[in-house]
Amino acid sequence: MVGRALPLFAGLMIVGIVVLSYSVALLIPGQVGGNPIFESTVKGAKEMAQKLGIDLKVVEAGYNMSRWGSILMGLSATGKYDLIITLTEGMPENVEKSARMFPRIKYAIIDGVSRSKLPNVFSIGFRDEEMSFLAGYFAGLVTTSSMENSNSDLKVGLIAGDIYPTMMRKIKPGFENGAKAVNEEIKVLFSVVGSWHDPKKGEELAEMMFKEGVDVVFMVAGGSNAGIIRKAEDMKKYLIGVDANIIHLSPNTILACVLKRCDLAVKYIMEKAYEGKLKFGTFEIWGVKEGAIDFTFDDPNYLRNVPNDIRVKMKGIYEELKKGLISPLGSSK
Amino acid sequence: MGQILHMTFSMTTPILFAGIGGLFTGISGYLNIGLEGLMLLSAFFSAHIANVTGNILLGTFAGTLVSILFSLIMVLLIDRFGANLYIVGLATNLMADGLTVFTMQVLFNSKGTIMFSEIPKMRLIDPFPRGSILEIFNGYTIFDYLAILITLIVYFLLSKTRFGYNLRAIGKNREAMIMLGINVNKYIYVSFMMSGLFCGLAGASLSIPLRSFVENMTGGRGWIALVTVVVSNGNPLVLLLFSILFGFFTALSNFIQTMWKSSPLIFSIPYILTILILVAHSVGSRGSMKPNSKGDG
Repeated sequence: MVGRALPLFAGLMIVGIVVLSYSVALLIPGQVGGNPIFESTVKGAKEMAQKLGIDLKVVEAGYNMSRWGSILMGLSATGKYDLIITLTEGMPENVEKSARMFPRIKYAIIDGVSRSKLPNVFSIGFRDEEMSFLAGYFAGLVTTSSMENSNSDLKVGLIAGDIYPTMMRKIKPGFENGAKAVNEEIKVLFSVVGSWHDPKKGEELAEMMFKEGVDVVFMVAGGSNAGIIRKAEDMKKYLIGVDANIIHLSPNTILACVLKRCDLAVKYIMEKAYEGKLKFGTFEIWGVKEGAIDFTFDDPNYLRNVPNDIRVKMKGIYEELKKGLISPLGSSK
Repeated sequence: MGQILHMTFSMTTPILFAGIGGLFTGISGYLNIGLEGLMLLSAFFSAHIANVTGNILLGTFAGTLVSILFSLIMVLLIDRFGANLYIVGLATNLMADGLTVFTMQVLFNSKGTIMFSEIPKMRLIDPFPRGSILEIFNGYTIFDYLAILITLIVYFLLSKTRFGYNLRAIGKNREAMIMLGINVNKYIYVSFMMSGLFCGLAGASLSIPLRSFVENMTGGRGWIALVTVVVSNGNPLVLLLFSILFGFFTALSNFIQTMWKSSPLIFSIPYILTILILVAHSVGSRGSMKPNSKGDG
């Protein structure tokens, strides 16, 4: 009797655990390996899942945007998940569509805002302009400094992977305002690779900028960054990274990175949702004040390569942003 | 101006290599649309092996070998198993994307960008004496010079040797060549291997100087090369001209956007140009490089 009852009992218990435990799916709009921001998000989600005993499933949707909607829909239709978390600006529309079809499932978006007020959608957006303002201010300090590879031309560069609304409305103006906050005379050169996967073209664009007298470039070009890094190494110029800390790729060339703490956002969402305290139907915008936009202040290479006076000024501007004394997009509040 | 010239040639090289590769199968009557995939395979494997061995030559050799191997698989599928030429080409492109990402994941636990640390830096060469008018052509990598040199050799091979004549004749009238007792299959296999060889060099010239590999880093260069193959009508010199033209317009669009203003319209200049060339070509000649019945499936 016991021999037969045991598997049955165990089976019931497993079913019980599956049904009772809180289940979260993290849908990555891309691939985790090699993408620092997704890696840190997944790491954060795993830590939180372990802490709370949440059942977490990470799903990679790949970089083909046209498939995200159907993958999200499929994930929702399984009915296995209490909460589906996803990232980036390409997602709100897809999420809203699924959220209408599956009102009992909760959705959360990080780094993309849904203004739909659907009762089962929560989103966190980031102040990208604060991030690029920090990068611009740092670039301005470097180009006006007497650092080894800085020149006397007041020129800094921004290389983007593509043109998209956030780039043109927030990142680029934020960067320009940051640089001009150091010195009004600084000129910002801007070029676009037109692809997130073309390091060869990234290299050519970087070379062109460096030959024009640019000595520090803020690179927001995904995989095309590889070419920019190589060219900067060859020509002894400086770089600033975005989203995650990539200084280790080229420690003496990449001076600093501005960080987007998606890991904090994913932890916050999981914890609050688990406790039932997440305010679905609303959205929040996080920036320096919330600790979601950060800077590589503690990186040992940063401490070694960047002179003390610049580091002090960076801390200063960071504090000012935190207090809301500066509006990165220029217009006064 | 010097900058645009420099950028023109360095943007031309991978397209030129791949174009030469496409030319060989093109003139024998098989339009190889798998150029992009073959290039991508070689870009990954040449960089990886160059990183493992610390030797650029070995890396290039290995990448090219992989590319030749896959071009052989392509021709086997087409010739022996009667697969459709275009389906095989498309499959090669899809497979190359998947295989490189998969291998990256297995070897490096990364699916995005790999920056190799052990690949030696490529030296820039100055083959022309200082002070001469040719000085402006100094300061490129060996790949860039090799591409031009190979184009000239291929021109000679196709227009002055028996091999070249036979290959052309097969493209024009396959049945007649079989009647003449020519081993047509041998020529087709060789032309596909040549395709693999030059796409291999194209891939290596893309990844090795950058000492890195990025998922899908060929970025449509194989397709641009295919356009140059179609409009060249079997003439490597015309192909060279169109590759340089494309390189020039890419360089020009880079220049304009850095110096003046970025807009999607400006960085689509090279692609708009491609469409214009294709339209002009199809109006002008009604496409003399059509695949023969065997490949058309």
